[in-house]
Amino acid sequence: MVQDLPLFTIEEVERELQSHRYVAGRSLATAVFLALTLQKPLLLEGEAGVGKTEVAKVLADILDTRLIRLQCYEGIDVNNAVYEWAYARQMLHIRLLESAGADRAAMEREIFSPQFLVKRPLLQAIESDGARPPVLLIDEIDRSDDEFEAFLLELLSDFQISIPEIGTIKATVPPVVIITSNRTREIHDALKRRCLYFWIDYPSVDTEYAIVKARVPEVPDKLARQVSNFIGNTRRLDLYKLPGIAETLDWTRCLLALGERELEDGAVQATLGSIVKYQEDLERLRGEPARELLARAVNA
Amino acid sequence: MRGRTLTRNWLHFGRLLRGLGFDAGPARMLPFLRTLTAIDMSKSDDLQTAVRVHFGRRRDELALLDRALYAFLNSPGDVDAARAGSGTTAREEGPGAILGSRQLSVLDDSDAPDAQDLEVASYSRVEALRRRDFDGMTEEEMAEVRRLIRMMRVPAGVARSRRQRRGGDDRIDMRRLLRASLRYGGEPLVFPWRGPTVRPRPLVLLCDISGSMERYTRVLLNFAYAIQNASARVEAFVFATRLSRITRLLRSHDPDAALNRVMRTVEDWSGGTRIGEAIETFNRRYARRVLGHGATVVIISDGWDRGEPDQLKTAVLRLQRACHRLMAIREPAGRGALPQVLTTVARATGSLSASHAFTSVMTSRMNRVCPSPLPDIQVRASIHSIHARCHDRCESVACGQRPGRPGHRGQYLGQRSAAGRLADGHQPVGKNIRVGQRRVSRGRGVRAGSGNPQGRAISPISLRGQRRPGLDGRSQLRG
Repeated sequence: MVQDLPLFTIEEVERELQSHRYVAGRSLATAVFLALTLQKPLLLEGEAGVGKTEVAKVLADILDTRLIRLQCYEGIDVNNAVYEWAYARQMLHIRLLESAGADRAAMEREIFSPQFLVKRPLLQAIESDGARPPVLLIDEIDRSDDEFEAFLLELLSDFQISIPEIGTIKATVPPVVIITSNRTREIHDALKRRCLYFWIDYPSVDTEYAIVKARVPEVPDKLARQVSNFIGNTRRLDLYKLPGIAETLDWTRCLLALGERELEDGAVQATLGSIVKYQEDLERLRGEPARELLARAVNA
Repeated sequence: MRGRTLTRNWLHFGRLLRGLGFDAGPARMLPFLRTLTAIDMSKSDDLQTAVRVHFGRRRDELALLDRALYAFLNSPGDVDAARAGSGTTAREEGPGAILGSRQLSVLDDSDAPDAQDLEVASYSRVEALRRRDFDGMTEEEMAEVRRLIRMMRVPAGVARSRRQRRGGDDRIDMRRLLRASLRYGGEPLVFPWRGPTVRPRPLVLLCDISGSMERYTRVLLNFAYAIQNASARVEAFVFATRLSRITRLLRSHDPDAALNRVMRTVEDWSGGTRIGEAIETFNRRYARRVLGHGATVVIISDGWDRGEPDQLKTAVLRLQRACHRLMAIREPAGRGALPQVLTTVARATGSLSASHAFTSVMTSRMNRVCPSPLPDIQVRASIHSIHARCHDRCESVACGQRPGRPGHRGQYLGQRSAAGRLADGHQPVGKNIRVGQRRVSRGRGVRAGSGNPQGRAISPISLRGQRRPGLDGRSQLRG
């Protein structure tokens, strides 16, 4: 039941994530630990830019294995997600066989053999034969449609895929599956039932400080502290889109690029566009409100 | 032995969760119990995370899960086993307990912002109101609702999906081409095609239930119920002073039960209207979640707004940018015409190209109604939206041209009633109607023509708005 993976305790998961520059709370470490232990897919939901996709990348690093990523979009189907035949090569091969005088049954066998199979991410993840299972990242599943979700149901419970011409391919070791969703629509309950669910929230000011320090090591302490205070207070405002961690990191890098050692009004006003991305929000922040936030961030 | 007791106690927890409406069947309980052997249960944080990852489905429910766990762990040791319904009489050790309805009600009284999304039995503070407004529907009304459901096509229009299907004319289906060519020794003789599918757009209803709309509230809810149950992709909200999401509450086979649930949960019946604020709340809290995949939004209101006009304007403009199309239906104050409007909609959408008929009926209504207290913006928003927002192409059945292009007429094809007038009272726009009718009456279809590049026959069915899959209804019906 408990898989032979290098991670045995929640503490170890937490430590490993930390050492790979991913600052996770204990609850996220617990969720990851359970996903690895129970071999269940982990469904991560959260606002955009809180580090959902990053979990999968870091996990692949930690497990020292391959990351296979499937970016979902509306209308994604078996051809794009699982497998497709290399039609042009098949056509050419038919010509060759024909000139060699092969009969039809032989031709069909030849044409639909694995050498003409183009493997897409899901098949790659299932077929992987290494000792270590790969990490399969199904990114932004909320962008796909119901049909694709229904297809995933079968895949995620049995980890097998059937190709009519070849047969059923079953994973020897099921991959570690991470699914992310931005919640632009609700994922169907049947899919959720097969997964462990975790909501990644915005971090606290202290956690955010740790994240900034881990991800942008060259940042001065003072600036990192002020940036996390500023962002923390910004998230209390009534904005259309609150800044995520991705925005915090971007902003920090922007400020560094401008040669700032600490927050000051001119630079803040000039770089507001890297924190909020809606015109209305920008209008709201620009000028006095930003100065107020700045004063609170500096004096905190 | 201890382990077994533990398991049994946690099974009570599962029952508690089921009582709260969570999915805690064996498919989830078994992995959960396995988890308990893998984690240190004395660490309550880890335990909480374990409960969340196994039973959580939505963020809104996580707080309720925490409270359930807290209540379960802190409940007194002596359990009324008979009430637990387990059939055993043994007293169990540890934290196992079944919460009585009183405790459940404590649980429900959640102050989480989205608590109204949860379908948890609750004691309502608006019981009196419910009795006054909603003491069950008359048989007549029930029949009306059922009729509406039967006729309902969701009037949100369709969108081209990237998903492909057999047939159509978009690109060659290589897989089938190869299969077919094997039959002829590798010679591609038969060319199978693939084409895009169309799917209905999601529809979002925002219904005004303020005091000035009081007498239509019931009709509105019936309408929302009917439309909700006719399609899976409908989100319904009601607002007066605040916005409530009623989508899940409406999902039921029994209209009475659904409407009663709404009555119990929504708190601002017959209050004042603050449309601007309600729409802004919608923009902030729900827009990103329910406007995906090109949704159409319909606001039904009489337009009596007590809020700030500027706020309304900003909110409407923003909403319009975020959705595929925004439509507003206004009830002319004091005329009592709204029920007819809705019936007209149902009738029109039952037989005509849905999105189009809906919009045209609505716009013409809006243009004719008496001077409205609503700022001009809303009318413009919706008219503008018909012509400009549909991928830059007029969705009018009879037109199908880009706005501003020579062929663009911007006219509509309404539903003809027995009297030969459009259902909304307008005279038909002669030519278009005649074209449509002639084709329909001929029944055998029409060949070729500029709007029919494939030279396919047009069946009468396609003219009735059930678009032939694979063909773009607009170009097909271009006059």
